[in-house]
Amino acid sequence: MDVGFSQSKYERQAPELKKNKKSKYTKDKKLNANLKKLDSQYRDAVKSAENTDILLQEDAGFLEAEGMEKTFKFRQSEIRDSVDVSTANKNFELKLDQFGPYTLDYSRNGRDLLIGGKKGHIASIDWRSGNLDCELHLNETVNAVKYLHNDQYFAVAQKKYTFIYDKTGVELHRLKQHIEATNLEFLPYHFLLATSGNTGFLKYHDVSTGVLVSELRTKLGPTLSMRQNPWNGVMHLGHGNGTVTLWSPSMPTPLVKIQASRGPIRSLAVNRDGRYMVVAGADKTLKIWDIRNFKELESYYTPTPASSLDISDTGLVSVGWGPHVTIWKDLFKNSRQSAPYMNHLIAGSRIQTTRFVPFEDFLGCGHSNGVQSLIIPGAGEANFDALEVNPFETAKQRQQSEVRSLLNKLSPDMISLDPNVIGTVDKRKPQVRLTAKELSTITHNGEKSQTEKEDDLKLKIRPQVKGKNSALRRHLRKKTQNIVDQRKLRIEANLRKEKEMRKSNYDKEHGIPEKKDVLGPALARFT
Amino acid sequence: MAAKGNKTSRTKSKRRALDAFQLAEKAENRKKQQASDYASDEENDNFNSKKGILNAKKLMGNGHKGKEESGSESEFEDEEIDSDEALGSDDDYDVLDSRFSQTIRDKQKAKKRGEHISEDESDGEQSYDEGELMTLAEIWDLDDKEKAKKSSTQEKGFNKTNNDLVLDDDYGSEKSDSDESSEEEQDDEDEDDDDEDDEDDEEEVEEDDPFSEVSDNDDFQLKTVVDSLKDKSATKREKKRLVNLETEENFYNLPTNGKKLSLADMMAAVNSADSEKAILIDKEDSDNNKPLAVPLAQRIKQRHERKAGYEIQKEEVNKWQDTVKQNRRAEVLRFPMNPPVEHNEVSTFVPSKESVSELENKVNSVLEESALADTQKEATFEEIATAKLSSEELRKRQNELRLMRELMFREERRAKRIKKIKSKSYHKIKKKEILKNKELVEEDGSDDEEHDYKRAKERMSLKYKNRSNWAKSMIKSGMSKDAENREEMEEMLRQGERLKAKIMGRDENEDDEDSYNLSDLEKEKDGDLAEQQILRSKLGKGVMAMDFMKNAHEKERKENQIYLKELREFEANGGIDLEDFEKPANSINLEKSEGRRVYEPSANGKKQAVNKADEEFLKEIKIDESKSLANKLSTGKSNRSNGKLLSDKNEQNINNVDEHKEVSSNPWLTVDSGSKQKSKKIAIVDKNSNKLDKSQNKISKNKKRSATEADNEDTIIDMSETLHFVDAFCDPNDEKETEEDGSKIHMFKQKNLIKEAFAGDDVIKEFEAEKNQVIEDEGDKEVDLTLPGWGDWAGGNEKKKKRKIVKKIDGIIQKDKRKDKNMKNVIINEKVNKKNIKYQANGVPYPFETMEQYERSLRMPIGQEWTTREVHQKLTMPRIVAKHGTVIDPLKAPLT
Repeated sequence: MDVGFSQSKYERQAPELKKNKKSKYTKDKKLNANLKKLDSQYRDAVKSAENTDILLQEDAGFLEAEGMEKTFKFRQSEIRDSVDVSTANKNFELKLDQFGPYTLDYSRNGRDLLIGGKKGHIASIDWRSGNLDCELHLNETVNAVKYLHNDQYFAVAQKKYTFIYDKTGVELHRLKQHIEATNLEFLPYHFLLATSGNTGFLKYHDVSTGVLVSELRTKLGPTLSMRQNPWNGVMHLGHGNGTVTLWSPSMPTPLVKIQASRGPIRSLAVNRDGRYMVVAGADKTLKIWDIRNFKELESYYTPTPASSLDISDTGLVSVGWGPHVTIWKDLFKNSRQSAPYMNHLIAGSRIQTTRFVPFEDFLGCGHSNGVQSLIIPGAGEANFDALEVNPFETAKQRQQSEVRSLLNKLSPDMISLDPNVIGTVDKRKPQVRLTAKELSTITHNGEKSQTEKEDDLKLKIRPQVKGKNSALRRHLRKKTQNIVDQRKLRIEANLRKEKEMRKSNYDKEHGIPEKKDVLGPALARFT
Repeated sequence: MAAKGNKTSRTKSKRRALDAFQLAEKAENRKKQQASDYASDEENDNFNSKKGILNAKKLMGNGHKGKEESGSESEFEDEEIDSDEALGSDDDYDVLDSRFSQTIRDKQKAKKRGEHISEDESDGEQSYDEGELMTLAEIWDLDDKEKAKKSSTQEKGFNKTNNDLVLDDDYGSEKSDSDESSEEEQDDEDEDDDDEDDEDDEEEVEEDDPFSEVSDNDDFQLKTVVDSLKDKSATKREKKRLVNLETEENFYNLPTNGKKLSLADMMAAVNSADSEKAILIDKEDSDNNKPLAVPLAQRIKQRHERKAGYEIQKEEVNKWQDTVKQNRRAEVLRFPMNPPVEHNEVSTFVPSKESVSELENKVNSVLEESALADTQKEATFEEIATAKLSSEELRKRQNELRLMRELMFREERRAKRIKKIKSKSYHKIKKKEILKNKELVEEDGSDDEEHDYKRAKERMSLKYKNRSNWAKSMIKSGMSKDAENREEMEEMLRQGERLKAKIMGRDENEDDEDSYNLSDLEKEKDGDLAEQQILRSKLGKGVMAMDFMKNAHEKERKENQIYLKELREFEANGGIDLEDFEKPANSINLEKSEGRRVYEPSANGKKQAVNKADEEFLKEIKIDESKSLANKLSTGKSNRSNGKLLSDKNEQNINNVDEHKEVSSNPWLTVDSGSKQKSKKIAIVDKNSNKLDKSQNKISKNKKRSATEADNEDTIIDMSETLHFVDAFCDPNDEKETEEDGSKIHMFKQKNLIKEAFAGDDVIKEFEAEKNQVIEDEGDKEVDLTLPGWGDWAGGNEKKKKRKIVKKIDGIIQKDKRKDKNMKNVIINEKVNKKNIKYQANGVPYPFETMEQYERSLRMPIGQEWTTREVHQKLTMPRIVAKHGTVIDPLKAPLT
């Protein structure tokens, strides 16, 4: 970075270049000019991006206590009384004590809510307006539910298979390969549905093409929890022995293995920018990991093992433990927090899932007796990028964005710990690197080369055909073409006749009427 | 020979043969005469003759042409003749020539090739018509006249014979009247055949003359009627005579225009004025008779020329260089390069008079009906009020504006100049002036608030103290001896004094008059008395003269006097009663005589503060007392140097205070507080105290306890790191007490439970083992390749093998280069993800030299999702933008 250029959030990482005395990067004049041009362009881009900051006028406001008040003492009823009507309306509770405990999921733009009761109750709701899109009773255990790229489709991990339904509740697909899944995740930029569960396999399924991209064997027993890292698309799996493994579909072994707790991992969550991971273990620990340096930052202790974790866009962490939901603020800041931000008790129930609503100050809580939506001031991202995810999108916009995202779909191979590595130069030694030829074979692994194709043809068993080489033909083919002798004439005439006969036979077979002499017998001989 | 010919029978073929021969001969002559100009014609001729077969049509065509031309060119003033005409004329000539040639031929034949000549040749002559022959005599007569007119004529005409042959076809028609008409024809021809003579070479003609006449006459007699007729038609055609005046100069023929060139003429030209213009005449011949330098070799000359040409071209091309360079470097080239600027004309703002559409008409009519239409027109540029002003008014206005602008500008300049002045004194004076002015203004309407604000500001800026950083540094560095600095410091102190006076309650006005003292007051008072008496006397018997008023006055005066006396005493004592301040405030109660007792350690602090303030005040007074600046400074210095001492003193003071307290009579007024407990509040918590206190107390207790606990045990799970979950829905007051007691046991139980729960699986150890395994697997390996028994001696007495073949196999990564080398509880996979590699470059792409440069270039995304629209458009702009349908002019060189 150049001196005198203040750091801003729009800066991008780049390797530093050394300038020589004359403030030149290289001796090459043209290259130097190009590099300088790039620099200036970059600077302009950052500056103009900074200037757009004035458009981001919304700011996330948090609860603030005065005097002796503590924010965690505010009850939902108190908050509801003091907020505007529209917000208060969104603070609802669904009492569904028959099919609980409930798990839930929000669509990417936060408009729709999908709830799944363990005993087979599925419902997709436009939760702000309260319109029910569909409601299903599957009469089968439901382990997890997940919206795909938009609210039009959702996946349900049922007792044995995973199914995909559309918005109206029609079963579209039964994913045979995904057996006994208990966790579902969807990578929106790669269009990959990831499942894991009792089988100990992590499976990636491309929902745009319907191809199973990869099956990865964890070798660590049933997977207890799974979340994606939204920054790089790496999947984090929590296992029974207290390890968290990080997976990419292109690697058969985990990218990283972390011993996060002594007991089984009950739940985990990764924050939006992929820096922090919160892990709750059955040993009642709640640990915060820096997953870029792989260092444990902080360890907290929960009175009972936490059952559900989630991190909001603004960095609030919700912890569901027993009947309690606790929301923590500034957990990722350096200082250790001593008191939670908010607190909520759902008496007589057990929290199953907590999920923050994207772009809203709400937290959805699925518990054994229904679903509840809690007001959590400051939880939602105030300034959304409508080109990315639009909470107010129309049907047309949704369709267009679907097409656009399909066109921009990323390959599953691109998932790696550091997504910025794409496009850069392979940092290994040149002799270790793949040559261009090898690379091309990798990139065109599906296509075979010409010689290979030929080889394949040779190997193929073909039906025997009568040889086309006969004495007659050989005679005709001889180089003495200009010589016209009796034999040749005879042969030619015979061959012609044969051909005609064959043709007439063919015509007869296929019912084509025989062509009669157009000229009549008298004139036909002249032809 | 001619006689012979006459006698022999004449067949056409023979005649033709003769003609051919004649022609050949003629050609010979021509060759001699006229260099090789008419080679083509010759060839033609030869061709014809060789063939022996004649293309009648072609010849007819020629003849026709001849006819046509004869009409048009009856007079021969033309000097320019085209080829056809020339041919025509040639015909004529040929006819003549053939006639004359008879004699010539005779001679020639005799001389050269007598034996070759066939008899037929002479027969051929019979074909020539008499008319022509007849005319000759006259032609000769004409010759001399016309010679003068016409310089020279050309002769072409090998086709003449051909013509003649063509004409043979017409024999039948013409020969009959040839006899009768021959005379007339001759006449006609005389007129027309002006150029015939010209065609002839003069010498030749002259030579031939006498013979030809004779022979022709003979011929004439022998002619048949048909022949004559034929010839007649031929002659008719030959009416046209072409004169080619533009004869080229050749060896035989020099165009003279009728004049003769004499030597005298030539000599005259040399000495005339014309000679000066002539290049070839060497004028300097007489002066410098040097020979000319040998010209450079052609090759070298050309090289020089090329070089010079290159230089010129280079210069020309260089004119473009800057432009080209600029264009090459430009990010975007827009065509046309410099589009003409289009200005909005005034007329664009003028609304069109007539309404355009029907709708508009309708709207207008409706508006008018409803009286909503604005009758006044919109102000256009022309109709704005200013535009209506007369020119004088306008000028006046402009002048005013100009004046204003000028004044403003001057003021601005002045302000700038003043701002630039660096002199501090100037600015000081200036500032004072401004302040004074401001004060003058403010005196009328200054309000208290502002006043207060000002005072506060003054206090804030501690300019009047010599303890400011600046002053300190000045004194320290001995800069105070500098006159200017000293002045400034004095000024500072003066201000300080002034302010202090203000604090003491004196008015600012009084402050200004320092000399105003008590004596003045007395004087004033006396003056007042006198005045009053005078006044009173003046008043006579008014209210003031009344007794009660007098009494009141008297009373007032007395009071004043008492006050004055007091002041006198004060002055005599030397100012303020310092004793009050010197006495340390032994108890806060002295200050706060009323109100409640405070059982707070803060009381002690307050006391200290009061004492400190007192002390400071004393110090200041002392400094004030020392009259001179030097004294002041020295005291200031001492103060500073003794800063620490002073503070020590303060502490002592405090101690003293404490002692004092003990000594003091009222034991309740003092609080027995050790120096240790100074900051600690004495918090007494009883049933009446509020909840907050209680809870705080509890928390602190807990803290202490937990801290001790944490110290005690080496725990697997650190229990001290407990998040204290406060249940919002339970009343903390009720529960806490009970929980507090039981919590310790409770926690202990849980810890044990957890230990028990995970007793079996020692996951950490397992993990460590796994990590070690991975490190080993992925690290470099050494393989012993020595074959057992190979190279060993058999039998006992085994010796250790010296040479061991050990091969090192590179693993994925060495142990000490692992990323997770220093990480606890983490295994990072070091294997290369081969599927990811295809998204990486396997080398630095061309224009870049290093990896860093390349990766730096990738830093900025171009897509509109990641950049602003403006930047996106700028980055994706095509290099060349050409406006459709515009003419793109070629590059223009800059003016040089």
